[in-house]
Amino acid sequence: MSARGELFTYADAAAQVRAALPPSYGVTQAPNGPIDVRDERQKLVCRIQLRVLTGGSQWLTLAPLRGYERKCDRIRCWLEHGGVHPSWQWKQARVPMAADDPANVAVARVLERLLEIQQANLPGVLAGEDPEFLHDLRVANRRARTVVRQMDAAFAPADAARIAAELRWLGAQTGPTRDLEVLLATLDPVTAELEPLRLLLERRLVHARAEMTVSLRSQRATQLDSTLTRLVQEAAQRAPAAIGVAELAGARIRRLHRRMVRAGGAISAQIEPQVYHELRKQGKELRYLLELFGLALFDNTAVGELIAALKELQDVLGRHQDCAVHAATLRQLAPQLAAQPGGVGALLATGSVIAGLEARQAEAREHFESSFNIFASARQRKLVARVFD
Amino acid sequence: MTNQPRDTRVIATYNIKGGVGKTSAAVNLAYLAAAAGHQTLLWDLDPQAASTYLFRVRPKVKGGGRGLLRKRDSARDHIKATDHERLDLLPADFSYRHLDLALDQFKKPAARLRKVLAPLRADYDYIFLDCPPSISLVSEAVFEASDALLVPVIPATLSSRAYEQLEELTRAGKVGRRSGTATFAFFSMADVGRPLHLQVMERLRGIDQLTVLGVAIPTADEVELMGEERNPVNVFAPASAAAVAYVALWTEIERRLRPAAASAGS
Ligand SMILES: Nc1ncnc2c1ncn2[C@@H]1O[C@H](COP(=O)(O)OP(=O)(O)O)[C@@H](O)[C@H]1O
Ligand SMILES: [Mg+2]
Repeated sequence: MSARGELFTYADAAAQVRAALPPSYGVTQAPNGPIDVRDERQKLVCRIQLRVLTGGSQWLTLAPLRGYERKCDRIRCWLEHGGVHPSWQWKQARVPMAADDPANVAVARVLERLLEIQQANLPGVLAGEDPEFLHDLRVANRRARTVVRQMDAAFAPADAARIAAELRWLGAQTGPTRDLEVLLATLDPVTAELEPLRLLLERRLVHARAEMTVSLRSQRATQLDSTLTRLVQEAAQRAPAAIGVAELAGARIRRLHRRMVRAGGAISAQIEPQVYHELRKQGKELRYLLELFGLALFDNTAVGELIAALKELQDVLGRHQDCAVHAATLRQLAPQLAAQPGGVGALLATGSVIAGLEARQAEAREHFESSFNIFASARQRKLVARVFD
Repeated sequence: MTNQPRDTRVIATYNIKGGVGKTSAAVNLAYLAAAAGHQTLLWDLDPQAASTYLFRVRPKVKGGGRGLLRKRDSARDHIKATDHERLDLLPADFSYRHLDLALDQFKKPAARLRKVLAPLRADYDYIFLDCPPSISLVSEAVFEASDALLVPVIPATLSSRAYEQLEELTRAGKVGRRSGTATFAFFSMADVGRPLHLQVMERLRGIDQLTVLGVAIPTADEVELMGEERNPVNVFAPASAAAVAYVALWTEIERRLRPAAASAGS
């Protein structure tokens, strides 16, 4: 593992942070301690910690002080503009690789890194402090599943199936909590009439979280990381290593792009949400491949352009899908909601929330065509053909 | 997150007079409570925002005092972490100067602060209220909300009269209507080198109905320096006489508020 060579110290990190922030901000760092960021009133607003994982990878966590979350978002923007990439959790999943690295070796390395991220977010998820931990855990999980499914030639089929099953299990344990958290955030700020709905959802969230906590503390969960790491390493040794990573990744990116262009072209005005949903799932997979392998192995500028167009499309599809899911959840809650104190008023108010969601969904559908046309344009298709051939 | 019920104590630093050391006491004692491991909140009720300033926080509450009082649970949204672990602040806002008018709109104005604080009891072991110098509906609401009133008294005749005034009020039953609100006086800006101070201190300690704490806070440059340092004394001058006195004062207060838990920290 070569990540060790890139290790940097707290002092390095503090210097980078200082350079990225406005001069009115104060950045102090205790010897080998966290980096304190102070705003123009000299008020401590966030703390940045440098974490080193066992695998040797490092990341910065940015923890806002209570009441300063918004300010910290701004700080994060400044940092990212300044080339420093902290996050609530480390999102930098890319690992260095060369085009002709054997696919099984490179893919195993990527998976190990993703497992690290997944594992690193687990304590935060269990503490329930910040929904971002759960979000990041789930992104790492989905990325790993994408890698296993798409980079199929890097594994023996039986190995891929076993790894996928473990990953899927973790995804399933965390899904309900995440869905409710997102729905509650969508409703915020809650008006007085909607209060019974919020309470109902909160209660469900408490339940979902309790169930999730139980399964994340179970033996299967405790051993998941070591199980998966072992499976990945064994799989890498057994795998049919005949193909280079760039060749495999390029082929899969081309295939996914082609499929999306075809599926999206078939969407007509009266199509059902399921097709958008499928397209969105493929889009996610394509995006992960572009980020994890595309940027590491191919022409960065071109890949960046592809990601940008894809991102536009994904935003539209995501909005469409989220609205559909939320509206469905709310509809399904109606009988229960009606039975709550103040439920009738809440039901009426929920009706207009659903109407709002549907309007957003319709709006997303209207935007679909233009963003899809960019994504599927001749220019983009040529780019894909040129870069990944 | 599930919160276990806490046995929260609400402590108000109160005096009809300004400039007697209410804010200095609230800030330093709250810091010490937090430093000892307790989840602590300080609510700066004074529109002058002195303790908000000392914690470097912007004296601004969106929606003002009115909004804060109106909605159950809304106080939570305005809480800011201070630079010190476990110590949070509910900042002051200019609109607090009309807080008594805002209170007056409720059916039971004097019970309102207690209502607003109720949900916060799940989060904090100690809640300090730093009060504006006045006697108004606000102070009445403060008395109802508090487990203890902490009254700094400068041991000079003039200001001890202010305390006597409060004593009368208490006895007349106008304040502290809720039974069980303890009232503790302590000497603030005391100068043991001055015979007048000693004399007044002795006299006040002799009044039976009055609980005067044993520890006095001496006049000290370090307390004044808080304004420049914008930190509690114990952060920048932990060995100073004032810092030591605040520690002793906090120990005494905690012992009186939690006689059972005497020394064990849990
Ligand atoms: N023990 C003390 N020694 C010296 N100065 C003090 C002391 N206590 C308070 N002061 C100063 O007196 C002024 C008023 O104190 P403060 O705590 O703000 O009183 P209040 O909140 O009652 O108005 C402040 O400038 C403060 O620094
Ligand atoms: Mg004051």
